[in-house]
Amino acid sequence: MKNVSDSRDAGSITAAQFLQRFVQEGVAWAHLDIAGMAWSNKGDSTTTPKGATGLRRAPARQAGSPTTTSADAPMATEVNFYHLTRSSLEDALPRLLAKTLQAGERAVVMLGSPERVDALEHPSLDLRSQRLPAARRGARTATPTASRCG
Amino acid sequence: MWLTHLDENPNGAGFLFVADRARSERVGDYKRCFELFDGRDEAAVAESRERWKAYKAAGHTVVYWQQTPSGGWEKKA
Repeated sequence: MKNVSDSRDAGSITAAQFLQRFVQEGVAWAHLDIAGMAWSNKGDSTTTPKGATGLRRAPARQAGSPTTTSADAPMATEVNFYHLTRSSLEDALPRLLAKTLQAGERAVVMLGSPERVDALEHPSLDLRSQRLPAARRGARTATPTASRCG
Repeated sequence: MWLTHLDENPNGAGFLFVADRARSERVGDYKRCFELFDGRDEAAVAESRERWKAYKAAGHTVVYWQQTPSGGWEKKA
C-alpha cells in the first residue's frame, strides 16, 4: 500500500484512503484535513482573526450510540456548577463575567425570562464597571446583532 | 457579552453562563459552561443535581464550586 504521494497534490484523500483501511466496516467516520488552517499568525483580515481559526463543535452522534467514546473525549465541555449560598446571582455573576473578559473570552448569559434579562441589565448592577459596555439584550430584538466584548 | 433568555449564541461565545433555572441544550457547543444555581431554592438544587449526572454521563467534565464565607469560590469536585 502506498500511503504518500510524490507531490503535494491530493494529500487529503490519500490520508483518508489510508485511514479507511483501519476503520471497521459499519463504523461512521470522517477525516478532517485541516493542517495549515489551524493557526493564523497575521490576523490581517476579519474572516481570519489572529490565533486559532478552527471552528469547534461537538461531533454529530447517532441516536442510541454510546455518548462517551475516545473520539468524543477531546470535545467534552467543562461544566462548572456554582452553588450560590452566600450571595445572589446579581452579586456573583458580574464578577465571573469580569474574569471571562479578562481571559479574552466571549460569553452568552442565558437567563430564565426576558424580565430577568431586563433586571440584570439594570444600571444599578453597574455592569459597565465590569467592562461590559457592549452588553446587549437578545431577548426582544428581532434581528439580534452580535456584540463584541472588550 | 450577550444576555438572553433564548438558547442561542449570536456572538460566537466560547463560554456559556446559565442561571435562573434556564436550561441549554447546546452545552456541548461551548468550551466551558457555568451553571449558577440558588442554594435556597430546593427545586433549583434538585435540578442541578440531575444535570450534574446527565452532563457527566454525556462525557463532559463537571466541577463543583462551593462559596466561601467571604463570597469567593472554592473548587470541591
